[in-house]
Amino acid sequence: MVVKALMVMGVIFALYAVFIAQVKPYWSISHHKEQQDNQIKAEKYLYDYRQEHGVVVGSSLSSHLGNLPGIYNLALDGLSSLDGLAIVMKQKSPPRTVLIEINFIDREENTSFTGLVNNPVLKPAKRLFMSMRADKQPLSVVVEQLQMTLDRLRAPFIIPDPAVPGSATSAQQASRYTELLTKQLERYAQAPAPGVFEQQLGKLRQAVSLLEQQGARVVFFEMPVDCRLDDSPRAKAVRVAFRQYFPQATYSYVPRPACAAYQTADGIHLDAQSVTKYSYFLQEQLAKHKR
Amino acid sequence: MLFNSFAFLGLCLITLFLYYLPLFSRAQVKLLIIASMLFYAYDQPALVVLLLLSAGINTGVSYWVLFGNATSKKALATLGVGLNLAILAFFKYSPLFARTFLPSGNDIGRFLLTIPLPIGISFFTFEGISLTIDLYKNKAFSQREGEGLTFTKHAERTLFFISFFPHLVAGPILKAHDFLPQISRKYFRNIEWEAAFKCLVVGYFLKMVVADNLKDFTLLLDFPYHQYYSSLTLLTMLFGYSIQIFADFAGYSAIALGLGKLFGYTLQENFNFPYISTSFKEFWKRWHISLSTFLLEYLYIPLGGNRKGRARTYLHLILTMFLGGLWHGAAWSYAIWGLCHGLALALEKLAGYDRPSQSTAIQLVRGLLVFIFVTLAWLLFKLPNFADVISFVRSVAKNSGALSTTRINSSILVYSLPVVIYHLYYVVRPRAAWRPVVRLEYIGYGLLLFLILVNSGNPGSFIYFQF
Repeated sequence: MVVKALMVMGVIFALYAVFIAQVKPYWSISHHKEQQDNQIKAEKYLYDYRQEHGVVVGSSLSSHLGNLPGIYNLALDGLSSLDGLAIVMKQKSPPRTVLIEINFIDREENTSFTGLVNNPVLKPAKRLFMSMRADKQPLSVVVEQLQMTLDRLRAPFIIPDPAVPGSATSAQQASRYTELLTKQLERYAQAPAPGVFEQQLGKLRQAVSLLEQQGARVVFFEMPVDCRLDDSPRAKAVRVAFRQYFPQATYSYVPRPACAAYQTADGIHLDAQSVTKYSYFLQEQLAKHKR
Repeated sequence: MLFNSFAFLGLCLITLFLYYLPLFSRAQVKLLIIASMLFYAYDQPALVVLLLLSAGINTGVSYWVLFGNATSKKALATLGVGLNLAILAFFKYSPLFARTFLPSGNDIGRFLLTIPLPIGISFFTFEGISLTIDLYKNKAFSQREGEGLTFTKHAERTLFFISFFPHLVAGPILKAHDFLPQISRKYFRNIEWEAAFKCLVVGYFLKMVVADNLKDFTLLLDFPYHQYYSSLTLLTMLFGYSIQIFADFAGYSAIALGLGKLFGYTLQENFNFPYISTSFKEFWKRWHISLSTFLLEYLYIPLGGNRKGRARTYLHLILTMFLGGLWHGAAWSYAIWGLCHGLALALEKLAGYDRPSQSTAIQLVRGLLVFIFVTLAWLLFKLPNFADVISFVRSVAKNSGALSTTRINSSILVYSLPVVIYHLYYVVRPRAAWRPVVRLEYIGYGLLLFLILVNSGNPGSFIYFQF
């Protein structure tokens, strides 16, 4: 029985691996599953992307940045730049440019995530078998199909809600925004705990110096947030600490644009329009840095 | 160390290899003790001392209970139980005591709040209690076995009983009278490969594919996230959590059973398809069996069980479940959870619904009601803070969720389906019409293995580790 079951598993796996390798299906799975999104992002970077180009590392604040030619967005939801760097640093060839988001550097590295991505057994297996990667999970495809069916069934019953100014929806959205912003104001009212923060900055300094030794160009940037948070004790403390550990005379920084020019969805995450706007701004600044 | 980690796989393979080598045939127990210590020390090395202390106390007390003066046996057994409970109370319930009874800012309170919770303490202290009581009642082994027992041998057996790594951190809770008689030399040729394989495959599938995938959606039950979802999505998430907690714990228990079999030991079944139960009494005969039988043998029956009249029976049931709830965690929500189950058991007994009905329709309705009650009660597990429970109930009542959630609902349904099929298969399996399917079970196990390989979620720790 044991041998038969193992043989069945071998056959199914082989068939699935051949299917994935030959058909190379694009399954836009995940969303609402932070860890899986992060894993897919990391795996695409490790196995599909030419790593000698540039890379952005950061938190969910920069995870939706796009339109950066030759730069892979490895910013991870719920994590920090250090998690992205833990993946980048394990590569044989370092990227030419590394963009490091500074906003949430005080978050400790999620070693269970980086350990999984850098696992010495799984990493070569996933490189070899595309079918073992997170974006090729067969049950996720079933979920995708079920979701589309449910959405189709639901569609006739959904009443479009334009959220025009002055409408009930608009008022609801404004009240939710205030609620979310209040939570962020509480969070930003205090500077990061000194012990952990300094430890994280120390780790970052080590990683940056190693990258520079390998010829990488490191550029720091700060994602814009709501203006009421931009001037908060937390944001100020992060800036001061960065200037101490990475003096502006020695390290490259993307200049901080006026926060009023950007809109956020919850105080800290830019809305879709502003994310595009900031991506273009970042692109321009990188071009200047190159010159 | 997690069962689903590569470090564990390495430890397990090396131990298994050495265990059956003729060179180590006389040191099999010692080898398993060393492996168990490495397993426990992997995450919390300092707390190995506590494990050894607990084993030491239980060795001493139980040895005196066995060979000491006949007149002092009862007092010694009581002391043994008391010491185990004191260890559990100090390490597990001190923070709860401080939060409930001491003013904030109090020095003693601050100290009590810093006491770390050693992983698996609820399990190994209960096993210590079982050892003391079973030896006191002469249940753990025969007179002949007891006669040749030296203190060193007894210490080795006790340490092995308490620390054997498959059950060490999350059960099943072993009873001395089940486990101690099994300690003997084991042979490779006697391994029950098929049974071990089935347990391991089902266990890893439930944990890695079902529970680890569901956890990423059910985390949205936490405050403040639940405020942003519709009633339907919140109830779907709660259903998902009910499936997740089963898959997580039953998965862990199945892995423990499979590992035990690889080393020649049979651990007690901990789950027997609990979600097909049609009464609360049946549910507790199928869910966390090692705990419910422990509570039955060492608490409910000694309290008087059902031998002291109807009113006392209900009281015993409620009290046993209340304490059983509190055993799970140092928060009043767990006690309330236990109390709810105790009340349900008592009311069910009072109404005479604890016996199966002849009508299939009635059985189905009862099964559904039991499942709904059990699922709603899990909310107290997921949200140990009462304020969060109230906020969740308010969110369900308000139905003001604005986020699009077909993705969440679809995912929960898809990842819950294997558990539903697992239970249904158990119901139809004995029927003659299903015999051809049963003969092809190996295809199912092959499929489960394939899904473990390609569809596992991000590994999370086992829910019951916190208890």
